[in-house]
Amino acid sequence: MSEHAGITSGRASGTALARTHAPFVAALLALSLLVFGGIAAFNVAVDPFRAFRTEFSEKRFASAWVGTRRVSKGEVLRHSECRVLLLGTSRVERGFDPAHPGFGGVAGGGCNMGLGATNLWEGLRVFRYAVRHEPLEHVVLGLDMLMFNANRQFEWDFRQSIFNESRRYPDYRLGTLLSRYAIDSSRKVIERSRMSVTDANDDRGFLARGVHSGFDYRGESVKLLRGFMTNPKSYGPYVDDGSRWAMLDEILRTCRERGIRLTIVLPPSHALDMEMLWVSGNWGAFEVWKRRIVEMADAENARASEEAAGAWRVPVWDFTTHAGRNAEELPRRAEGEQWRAMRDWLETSHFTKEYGDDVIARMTGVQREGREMPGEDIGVRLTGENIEAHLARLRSDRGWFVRAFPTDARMVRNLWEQAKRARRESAAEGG
Amino acid sequence: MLFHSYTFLFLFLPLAWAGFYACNGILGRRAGRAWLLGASLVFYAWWNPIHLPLLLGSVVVNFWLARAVGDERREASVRKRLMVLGVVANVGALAWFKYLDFVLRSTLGTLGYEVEPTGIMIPLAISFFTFQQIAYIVDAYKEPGRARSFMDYALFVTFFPQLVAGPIVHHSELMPQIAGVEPYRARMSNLSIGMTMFILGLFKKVVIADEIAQWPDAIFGAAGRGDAPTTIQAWIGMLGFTMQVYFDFSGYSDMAIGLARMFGIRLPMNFDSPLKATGISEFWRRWHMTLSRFLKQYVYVPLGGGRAGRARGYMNLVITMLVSGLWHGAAWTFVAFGLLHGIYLVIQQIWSRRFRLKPDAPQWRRTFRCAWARLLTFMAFAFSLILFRSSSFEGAWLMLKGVVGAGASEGSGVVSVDQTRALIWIGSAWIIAWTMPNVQEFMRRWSPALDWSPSRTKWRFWTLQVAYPAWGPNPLWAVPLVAMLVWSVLSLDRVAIFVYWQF
Repeated sequence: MSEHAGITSGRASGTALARTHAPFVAALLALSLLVFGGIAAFNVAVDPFRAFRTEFSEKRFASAWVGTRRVSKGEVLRHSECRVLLLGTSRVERGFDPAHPGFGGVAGGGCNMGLGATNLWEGLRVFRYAVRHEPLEHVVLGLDMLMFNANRQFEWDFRQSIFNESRRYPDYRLGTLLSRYAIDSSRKVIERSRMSVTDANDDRGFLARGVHSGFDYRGESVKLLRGFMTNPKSYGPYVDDGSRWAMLDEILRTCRERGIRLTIVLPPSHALDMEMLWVSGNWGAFEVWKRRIVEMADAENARASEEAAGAWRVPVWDFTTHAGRNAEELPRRAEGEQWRAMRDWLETSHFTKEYGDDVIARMTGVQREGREMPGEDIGVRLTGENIEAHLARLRSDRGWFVRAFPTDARMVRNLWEQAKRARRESAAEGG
Repeated sequence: MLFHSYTFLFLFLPLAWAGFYACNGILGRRAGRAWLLGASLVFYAWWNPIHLPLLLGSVVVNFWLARAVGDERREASVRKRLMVLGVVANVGALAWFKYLDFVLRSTLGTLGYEVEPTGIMIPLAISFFTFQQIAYIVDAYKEPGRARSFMDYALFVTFFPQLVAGPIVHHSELMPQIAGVEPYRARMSNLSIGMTMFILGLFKKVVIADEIAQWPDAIFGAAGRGDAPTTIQAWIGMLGFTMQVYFDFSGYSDMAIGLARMFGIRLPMNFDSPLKATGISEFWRRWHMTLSRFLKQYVYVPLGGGRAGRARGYMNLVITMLVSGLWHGAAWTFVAFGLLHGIYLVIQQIWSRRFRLKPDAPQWRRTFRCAWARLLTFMAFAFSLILFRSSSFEGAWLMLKGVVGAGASEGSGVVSVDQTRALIWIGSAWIIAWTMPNVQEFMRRWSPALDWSPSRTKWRFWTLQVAYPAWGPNPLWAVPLVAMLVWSVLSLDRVAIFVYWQF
């Protein structure tokens, strides 16, 4: 039958055509409705991102939710009234408890928006979202130098999240119901639930992780260090194209204009992590990076002094050093030796919640009940006046570390030599 | 708004369709037209509302100009001046928004001045709606005395299925349909044909093109940063982009034609299996057919076409293709792409004049020549896409070196590409493009596109003469179509915009 004839030959053949096409249209729509409805119902029931928080999903799957995903983090913000916003990488996510008394305790409205493998581009968008939707009073911005690496693009799941500014809300919401990503996340939650895995982020986005008995600290740390040295998104190589500084500037400016307290913190880095920066030739860039942060914060403070009689201040806290608690030795796995847990570190990249508690206490002057207030030996508040002396101190800490832990220092150097050799061989093959 | 977005599929489209027919049924055709116009403007503004006033301003000014140009009471010289003013104003607006940075970089930049980007945002679809309106004004001059309502004109320009990436519809195709009665009758046949075409197009775009896109994106991206690809990577990049752009744009066109059909309007065909072409001129008759038609009608023919001697004809061809290249993007790489196609066309014309098969040539020679011509045409097009896809000549040069075997040695390429997976996908897409009927052919019994019927298009299945099933409104067809729809919708979490969206 020719459709053209159907179009032109009036109402009688139109009715005949309708009879021909109606069953097909009905089947297509009914089947689509059935399949899409089924998929959506499945994802609502499992609720991998805790977006819907039904009684069923909260009871069955909430403890196993995929809380580290960007979509989940967005849902944490959507479901809470966030007054204290913690931003940063997985160090912040795992180390800073938003319910710490320094942030006002459980009722303080703290939200941990630390994201694994993040960068300042993502951080800025999370910040913008929070500024638009939350009654923000205080932002704690945890900065790691790798967040400024231009090679570090946004993570894939960031596009699916509510923080993605090019995605409107209906697209976002339907994406949490009808996407492969949602199905995959639901599947993962069911698996985690079956295996009784419960190490998910809490209601405020905080991921308090511990290590299991027998955990190979050294092996895990070597893996991480090697990754940092070779991954172009980290320090292999570190590329600062200048674009990230404008993002930091926007955060500083917005906080000043809106009267939001801002604290910048350079979270603790383990001595081996610091040594990795040194041997890979990034120490110079590291010092430049710190100087610039302090310079920008000072400039904002000066502007604030002019505008608001000095009421607004951005403190910059630095907890990076080769010495002190950051130099805690990684346990060796000598035969017969009993396994022991590290006090302050999960491995060389992440510090424990307890160390995080002390960092927060040092910055805010408020400590958790029953825990001792840390001394002035951890963390330095940086200004334009003390930055050079502080950097000189860090260089001397590095000298101390190499003398005190020659084996570990050698290990990092060897890892770097291996990474360099691999790169050279690859270049030679490339002709 | 993107066709392949949740908002469009689950909110906009059902609301636009239901509202249109509800308005028609309850309030009459005028209200239906107004609803469709409103929906089209929402569709346009969803992406970036800031450019909506420009679109509306352009529609109003062009309508007024076309009326003045087509007013027989005015003197011919005045009408001509107004027509020229209209063309210049449209081209000027296009140049301002799309080409200003390019012109400044190419002039002042080469003289040694530091040229900062102007920061002008290119309004979505400006190349498409500018061309449509230029044609309307020029034709108003040629054929005065046509009076159209503003609503019909505004809907012709902004009708959402064709607004942002074509097909570039001629007013004589769309406006009579808008003014007629067919779109205002809710027909099941339009819905079933439209939905089928839309789903097939969506699948081509989201499942095939976007899956393949990851490899050319990575390889061309690395070449743009100065990292040479290996030979195999360069070929994956080149052939991958060929398949990506074909399935992307032809998928988009199928969606556009299908959407329009759901509203009872038939759009012209835009792709007729161009990768099966056996010559570059045939290729351009099959690839983005409505653009080729526009360029022929409003650039090539006014330049004199092939009437003013052979050399002048060749020159006109090259100029037309240069315009085509520049239309695609404001960069020298696009100009080079157009120039290369102009040269291809000239070479083909010279070749076909000199080397014609004798009428009594044996069949095997005809078959061999056909197969060879198709391969050569395909490779020539794929090769030209290196210029089209590269962000700079340096990147294109690295890709070119890779393609001819002078790139990085195996194992040393910076980009990590799953070559086996890439080759399987690209190879499968190639087989589909060469051996299977296109969507219009698949739905041939139902004349899905305007003024197209299978009898006018040769079936060229090269060696495979398989009888593919033709679609019909049988409920059983709903099963594979729903499977394709579900696969596509579930894949929307990783989709990219249309390649042609940026033009």
